[in-house]
Parts: sequence; C-alpha cells; structure tokens
Amino acid sequence: MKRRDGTGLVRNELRLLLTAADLQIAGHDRFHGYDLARHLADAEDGSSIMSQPTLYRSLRRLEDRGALSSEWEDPAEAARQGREGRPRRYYRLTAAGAELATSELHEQQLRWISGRLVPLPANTAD
Amino acid sequence: MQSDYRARFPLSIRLAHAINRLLTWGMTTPDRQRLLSEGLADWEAMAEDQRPRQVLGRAIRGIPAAIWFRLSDRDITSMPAGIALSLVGLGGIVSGSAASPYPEPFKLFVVVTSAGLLLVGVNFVRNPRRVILARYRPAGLLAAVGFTGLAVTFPTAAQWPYDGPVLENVVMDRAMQVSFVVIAIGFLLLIAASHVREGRRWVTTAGIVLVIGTATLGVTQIVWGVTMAPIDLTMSVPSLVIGLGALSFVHVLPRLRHLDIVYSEVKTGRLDQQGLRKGKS
Repeated sequence: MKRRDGTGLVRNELRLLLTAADLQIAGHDRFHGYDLARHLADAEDGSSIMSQPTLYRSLRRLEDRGALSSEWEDPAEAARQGREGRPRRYYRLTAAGAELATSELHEQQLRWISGRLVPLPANTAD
Repeated sequence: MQSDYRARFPLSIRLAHAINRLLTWGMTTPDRQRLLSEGLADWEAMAEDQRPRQVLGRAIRGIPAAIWFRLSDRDITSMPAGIALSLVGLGGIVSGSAASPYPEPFKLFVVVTSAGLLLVGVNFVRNPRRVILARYRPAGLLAAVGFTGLAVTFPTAAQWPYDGPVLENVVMDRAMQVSFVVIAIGFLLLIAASHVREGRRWVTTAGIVLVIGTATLGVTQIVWGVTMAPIDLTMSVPSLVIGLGALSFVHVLPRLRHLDIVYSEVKTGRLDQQGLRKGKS
C-alpha cells in the first residue's frame, strides 16, 4: 500500500490515528486495540471491525513513528475487573501523534476546499 | 508477558486464539507473546459486546492479512521460508539416496545439493532476522558444488531411465542445466561476500543471481513434474515440490535486503560498525 506523501502513513494507520485523536477529544486518555477498532467501525457506519493482524500491525507502526505510546495494564487492575492474568495493552496518543493527526486533518480540509473551488474566468478581475 | 490461554474461555475465543497461535508460529518469542497476549485480551473484550459468531468471523477474516504480512513484512522473520527450504533439502536427500534409476553421479550430487539447501534452511531458522555470512559458507559451498555437479552430470538421453519423452526436450534440459549453474554462481557470490570488505554489495548481487536461477529452476521443475506425472508419480511429486519451493524463494529472496548482514557474531570482535569483516578487500 502506498504511503501518503504528507504524513507517510498508509490509509489504515491514518484511520486509526484519527480515531485515537477522536477518542482523546472525547475524554479517553487511553484505549486498547479493540476499543480503537470498534470506535473506527462505529464512526465509519457499516464497516466491519478491523481484523487483528491489520490492527496490530498498524498500531505497531504508529508506535514506531512515535504517534502512539503503549503500556501493559497493571495485572492488579485487570484482576479487579475480573480479568486475572489477562492485562490489556493500552495505547495513548502522543504529542507527535496529535500533531500528525492535526496536520492530516488540515490537509484533508485543504483538499476538500480545493476540490470545491471553481476557477474564475480570466477576465473577471477587470 | 505470557499469553494466558485457559480452557475456561468460550469456544469462540479458544478457536480465535488457536488461529492466532498458528498464524504467529515461527515469529520470535517476544513479538509472538506480545501479539498473543494482546490478541487474547482483545478477543475477550470483543466477546463482551459481540456474538461468538462475530468473534470467529473476525479471526477468520484476519487469516489472509496475516499470511500476507508473514510473507511480505520485512520486520517479520524468514523462518517459514527456512523451514520450507530445510524440508526441500531433506526430501532431496531422501529421494536422492533412495534407489532411483538415475545415474549414480547425478544421485550423489542430488544428495550434496540437498544437504547444502538443508543447511541454508537451518541457518535461516537459527537466525531469521540476520544473515550471518560466515555461517553460510559450508552451506553455500555444498550447494554450489552440488548444483554445478547436477549441471555436469545431468542425465543424457542415453542415460534416461524412462521411456517417456521428457529428456528429449532440449530447451527444458538446457534451461534446467543453466538454472543449476546460475544458482551455483549465486552461492559462490554469497561465499565471496564473506571474504570481502564490501560484502553487502556482493550479497545483493548474489541475491539477484539466485532470484534468476531459482525462478528458472522453479518453472522448469514444475513443467518437468507435470510432464513426468503420467510416467512416474514418485519423481513427479518431488519435482513439483522443489519447483514450488524454488518459486516461493523467488518471493523471499528480495526481502533479504532488509535483513542485517554481518560477517559473524559480534562477540568474535572481528566486526566493523556495519558488522562486515575488517581489514580484507
């Protein structure tokens, strides 16, 4: 899949990054992989939940680029929620990730605007 | 972090986890454990708000993507290819040493070649993320000698033990012999790479030569295997396997350029910063 010129992300990585930004704006300071995949599916009405291999590969690449950071859940916290021995891996949007998401949204807006601008005829300036 | 697979999980999660275990087989332990642990927690979270059928559907939907990533991702190990190569080598040794009707010298070189391929495969499996050139010397030498021998001792029409017309096809014969020679040159370049300062370039060249040789070998072996099918199935099947194995390696070889290439283990202290041999040119 071709990497985009602006952010260097492929489409799935971009979708996840924007979803992560969306979750953070909604007040979730951390989220696990399935959270992201489910919110993405909800946001894109009708799309199915992203498969695990695609999800984790995209998350790993976003992490490698510094857009996300991750940590294992404290086992004691998992045990309190009845998930003894099965802690989740939680992701957070980093400052670099937020910047990347903002720049992508800005680019999308520019593309949207430029796609709707009708060039004026050359002699209308006079 | 250990993956925690417990029998008390619902069947859908157990099956999804089993699919994950299969698809991550051969990856390095830390990567695999992380994926399995994260995946298991993920299936569990999914099972809270989705039906078992949907959990399984997502697991099954991930299979093609996982296979594609395993074959194409430069970050993931070459272990499956190494295992396939080892098996092809082992099969070649068995079939070459068995009582086949081919001339003895040809059978001998089948065994030598297969032993070389087996060792190359074992080296891949031992260290799937790095090409440690020194380790490929014995394997490369055996394979180079073997393939050259196969080209030289290739059965003539008079030595051909079957009534079938296979060896009467001159184009096929020459194509197979040429592919043997090209592959032997590729292995010799790989050996040479361990002796020179700019070994990385030599490895790249060896890779290109091996791609050309294995592609030719793959196609000719498959055509040969199909042609042999009505004459002798016991010769046709190994030929088809070798052909498919060779073609799968055409796909894998370009990926080698992404791997670390070092002369030897760092602990020997004979490496420069790129891990290539010091002081020789």
